[in-house]
Amino acid sequence: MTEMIRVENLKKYFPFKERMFSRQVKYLKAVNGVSFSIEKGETLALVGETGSGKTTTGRTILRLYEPTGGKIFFDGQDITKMPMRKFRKIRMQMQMIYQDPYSSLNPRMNILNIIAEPLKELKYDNIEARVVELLESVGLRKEHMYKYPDEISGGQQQRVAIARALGVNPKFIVLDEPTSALDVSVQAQILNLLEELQREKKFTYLFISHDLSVVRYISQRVAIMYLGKIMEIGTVEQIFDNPQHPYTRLLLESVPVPDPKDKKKRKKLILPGEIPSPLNPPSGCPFHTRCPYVKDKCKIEEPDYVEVEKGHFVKCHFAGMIE
Amino acid sequence: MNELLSIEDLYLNFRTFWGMAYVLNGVNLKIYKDEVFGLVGETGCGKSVTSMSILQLLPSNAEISGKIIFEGQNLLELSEKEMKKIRGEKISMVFQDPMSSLNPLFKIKTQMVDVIKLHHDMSKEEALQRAKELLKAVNLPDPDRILESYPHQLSGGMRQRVMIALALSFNPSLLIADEPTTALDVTIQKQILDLILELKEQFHFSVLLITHDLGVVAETCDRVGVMYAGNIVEIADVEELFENPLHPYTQGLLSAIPDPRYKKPLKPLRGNVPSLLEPPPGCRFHPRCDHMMPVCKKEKPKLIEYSKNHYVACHLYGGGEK
Repeated sequence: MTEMIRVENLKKYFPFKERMFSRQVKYLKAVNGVSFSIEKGETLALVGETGSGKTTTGRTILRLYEPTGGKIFFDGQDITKMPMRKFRKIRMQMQMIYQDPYSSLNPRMNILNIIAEPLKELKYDNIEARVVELLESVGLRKEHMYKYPDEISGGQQQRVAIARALGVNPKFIVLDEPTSALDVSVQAQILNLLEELQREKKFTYLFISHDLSVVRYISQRVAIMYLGKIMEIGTVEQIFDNPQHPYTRLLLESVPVPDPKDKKKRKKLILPGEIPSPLNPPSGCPFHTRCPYVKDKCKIEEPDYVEVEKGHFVKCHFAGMIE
Repeated sequence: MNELLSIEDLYLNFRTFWGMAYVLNGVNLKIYKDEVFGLVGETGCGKSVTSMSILQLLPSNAEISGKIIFEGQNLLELSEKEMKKIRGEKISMVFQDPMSSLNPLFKIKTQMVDVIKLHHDMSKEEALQRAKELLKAVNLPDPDRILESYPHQLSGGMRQRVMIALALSFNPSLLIADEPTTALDVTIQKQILDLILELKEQFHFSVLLITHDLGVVAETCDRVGVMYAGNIVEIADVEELFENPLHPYTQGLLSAIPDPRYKKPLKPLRGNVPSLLEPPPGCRFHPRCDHMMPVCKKEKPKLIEYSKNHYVACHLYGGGEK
């Protein structure tokens, strides 16, 4: 297998001023040194709480935000500083699907025009035939073509957004919480559709989500983010069945399990406190303020990644040593 | 077990520009003392509107019929003045979005004192003291600082704790929590749900928990009602419901949700939730049901007790008889 996406020490800082007229500019370090790679045809899930920087990472890879530092490789090419004219061609192979399908579709355009819009660039002879083909590939019918976004359900809107992204034959798709606005019965439809499309067209996905049940279902590898950094990365089995970082463990412990018998078996562990403000992140290990195993070292020194098993990296001083 | 609240044959329609919306179609349920009753369903199934009916917080275009018996009296027959005493003193509510339920222009102190004084004959100092006690009860550190803050200065989890503190200010016998953790992260969700259960033991109230998340139901509720398009389709103890779901919709929901413990194939329900302006006749679930029979299109199934404490409304289990 070969790599589709490689990110090296990616950084995205947003400048801000504490007071309106203050001269001192500070930086919000939304993404602060993130590295990972995604193989062709693979799904990597980026998981984290609100404010962990997962969406910013996704957007920076597509250069919807210009990266502050680090490198991004797409299919072997460095695209970090590529001039826009050249990048446009490559950018077409990278698409993004957003959380709220309604606000990503223009309410004044019908479905035909929404899906046809990016196709105009590609000079198709018969755009309408291509739109029908795309609609059918996401489980919609020809009749939907002349409807407007507010006439169809949320699940169908998300299907339209997917069809539009598929139109330009992308290779890599960033899915930013694509099912969190949908009901559970519809969520399963969309997840299955995304899996099917991946099998058929060998898409590479970056799946951004806070829902660990969904992540377990859809992804092959998982990266757990906290305050702009990846705390643990590994295959889905490594992360879910053998989590090593205290944060990953407590996060998994918080996920509600749809089985009433399960709650009696588990220990009652609660992750205390809340994610600190990224404007003023803690020193040393970013998780030390909430970590039940915190030692003095954690407050001063930032831990490096430790490879606890093949392909399973943990950013913790005591990786592999915690019971 | 003692009955606290009983909803009998509740029908609710909204007059809208597009015609009549048939939102609740004969809801029957009972909530007992000291239990957590979960009401689950998808968007538009009528779970929130059921709680609004209990509190009579419905817009003026609503037409309601049936009975809501709370501690022996029918809430639908009470005057607005009598209802005001029930709200807040007997039944409290916590909403999904704590930001929009707090006034952004006033400090937490002002808002809490106002609410406490509204129902209690107290001086300002006494009310402030009570506010502090309540904030401590919901495990908020440093209550003095919280009282001096504006809502935007608090995090989502802290705001939700303030809302719970406010809801508890009169020792209610029923707390309605409408998707109290949907806007929060999972780690905070766990904290808030555990807090509600803890406070329930301490203050002895019942909880009506409205949610779309079956995981949350499995972890917190004693009994569950499943709603679909304005009907209760199944009611059972939580373990019974997950182990032995009877209604095809409940079965469908359970096989459509991913499990964080292992990867299992997902079987989505086909189709979409029907429009309540033109709900399907008979059983409202029949267009999406795999076990559809001719009678399902004609007759609405009744909620019957199929086995002990397990109720289901489906023709497969003889819902048409009686």
